[in-house]
Amino acid sequence: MSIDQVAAIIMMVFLLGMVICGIHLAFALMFLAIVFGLIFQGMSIFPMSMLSIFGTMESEILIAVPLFVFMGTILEKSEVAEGVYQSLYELFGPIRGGLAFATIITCTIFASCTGVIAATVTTMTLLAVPSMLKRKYDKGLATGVVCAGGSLGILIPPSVMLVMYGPMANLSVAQLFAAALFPGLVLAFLYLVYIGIGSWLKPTLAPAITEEERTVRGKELLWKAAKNMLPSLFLILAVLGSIIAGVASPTEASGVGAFAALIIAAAYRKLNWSNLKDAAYTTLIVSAMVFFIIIGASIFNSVFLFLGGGALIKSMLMSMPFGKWFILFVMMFILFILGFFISWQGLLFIVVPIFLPVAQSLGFNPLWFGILICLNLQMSFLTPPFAYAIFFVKGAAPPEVKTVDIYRGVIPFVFLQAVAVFLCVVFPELILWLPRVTLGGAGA
Amino acid sequence: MSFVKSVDKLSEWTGALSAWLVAPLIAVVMYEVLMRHIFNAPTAWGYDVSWMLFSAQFLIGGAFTHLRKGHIRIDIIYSVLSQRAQAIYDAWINIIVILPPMVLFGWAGINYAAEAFASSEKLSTTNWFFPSGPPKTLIPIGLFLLAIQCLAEIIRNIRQIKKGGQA
Repeated sequence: MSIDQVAAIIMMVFLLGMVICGIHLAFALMFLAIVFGLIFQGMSIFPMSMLSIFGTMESEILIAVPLFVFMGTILEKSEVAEGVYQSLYELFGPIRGGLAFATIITCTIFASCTGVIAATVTTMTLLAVPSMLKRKYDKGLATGVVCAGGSLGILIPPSVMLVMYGPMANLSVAQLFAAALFPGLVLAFLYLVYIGIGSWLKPTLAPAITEEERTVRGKELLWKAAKNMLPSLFLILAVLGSIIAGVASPTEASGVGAFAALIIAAAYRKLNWSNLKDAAYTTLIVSAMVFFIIIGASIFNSVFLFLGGGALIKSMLMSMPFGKWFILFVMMFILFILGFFISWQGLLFIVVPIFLPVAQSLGFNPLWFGILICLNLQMSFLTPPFAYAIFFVKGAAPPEVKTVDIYRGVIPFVFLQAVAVFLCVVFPELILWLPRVTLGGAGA
Repeated sequence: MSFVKSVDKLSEWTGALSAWLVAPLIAVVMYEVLMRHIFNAPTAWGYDVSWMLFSAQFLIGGAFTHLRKGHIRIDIIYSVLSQRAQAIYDAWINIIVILPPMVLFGWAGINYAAEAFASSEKLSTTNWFFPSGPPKTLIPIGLFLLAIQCLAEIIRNIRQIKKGGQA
């Protein structure tokens, strides 16, 4: 190991330390890049970092990030989720576990239009948790369902995570979207099966609502459900469909989607100044937060790779015994463990660039590997102490819900996510079939 | 008006400006989609203008995001500290970790943009060949705005530390 490589390892250890100590990820990255860059590269760190920043600015595909965030926020402000949940509540309420089903389905629909989870999780906590607790649902189940369902947003396309993964790994975002669709739906299906079996085995877990509590029935109910669900379903199908069919680029689709969301908001009479302003500001803050991390990570990575840190970790991983499936397991396990402490943006831009060349030399399909990574990163939303989904649920849930309840509630869902990763490893066609059929290729 | 207040005001203004850039961004992307897919006459400028609007949004908005504490951090340790300890901690983070990179990268950004202007360099992303100086200038603007906001945060933290000391 050369001095440079030792420095690279120290750089990575410092980064983890600084992040765990509560220093902003974006600034810790830039700080370490400057310190180590100046020591080992000298003044050339500056022009090099300007190229990194300008490269991020010029990347057309990343424009989809703010546009998808804006689209999701506008839909959230239109209270579409409320309408959808209300009608599903009436539909599924009378069966055991019905409200949990309604929650997962609402989340799945919204997962496909938001791409960020804060809004979905908060909205669903406010909506679904009180109604489930009122029906004597188990506290753990009620909150776990919202955590797990809400986090689907980061996986089911159009997802901001996939938009950022694409340019980093030189993969087409459209292919990633197509590839993530079935794993996302499989995960939602696993959640539903779990709730179904759980509430069947243990009736106190999720009791049914009584017939008297339903306010509408029959035709009226179907009409209400349709009115609430069709506009957003149509929007999702149009946005996703045009991307997956290869008609429009993700950026184009995100722009049209943002515009269409405004029309839907107007139709629901929710298009007012304060909603617009909120959406614009939310978009700005998400965007600036994410892109400062991306800029920081791109500068950090170029210094880290210059020092030979990437090559070092690669040779360490490659020299492990038991063949390529064990190395895959080790990489996934490292990501899972780091996910307890570091947010997905950090993992995506720091750890993944190191793992990509390893996966490549092991001969794994890059598209398949990318979706496994994203499935894995999705777990970091549910694994405490640093778990976005749990923060948001705790912040919005009624006070009788304790953090311990939520921890208890997410355990089965984390387990189900691991099952989904396993299924995708055993049946790679779950990931690779759709992009091959629609876009004629499964990653180069 | 005090320095801290003026800086906060500046960040509020630049934040509002960059937040509303989402409107022209949607408009330009929509227009480009219409021209390309329906009228079959894509514009020469749509591609470049949309990424410039997008990068202006996040670069200029960085300072406002710092003001609103929007840059993510893990607060397991931070949240158990007393208010005074938090202020001390934040002051050090701002002084050591945030301010120097912003100033140094901002200064590098000035050189980077100045070179582009001096050699009248053109963008090579499309056939529109817009000068590359203006978008490159966004880098020092964004980073210096953040540096100024950072100074204001340091002063705010120090005031809070002093106030906490008296109480």
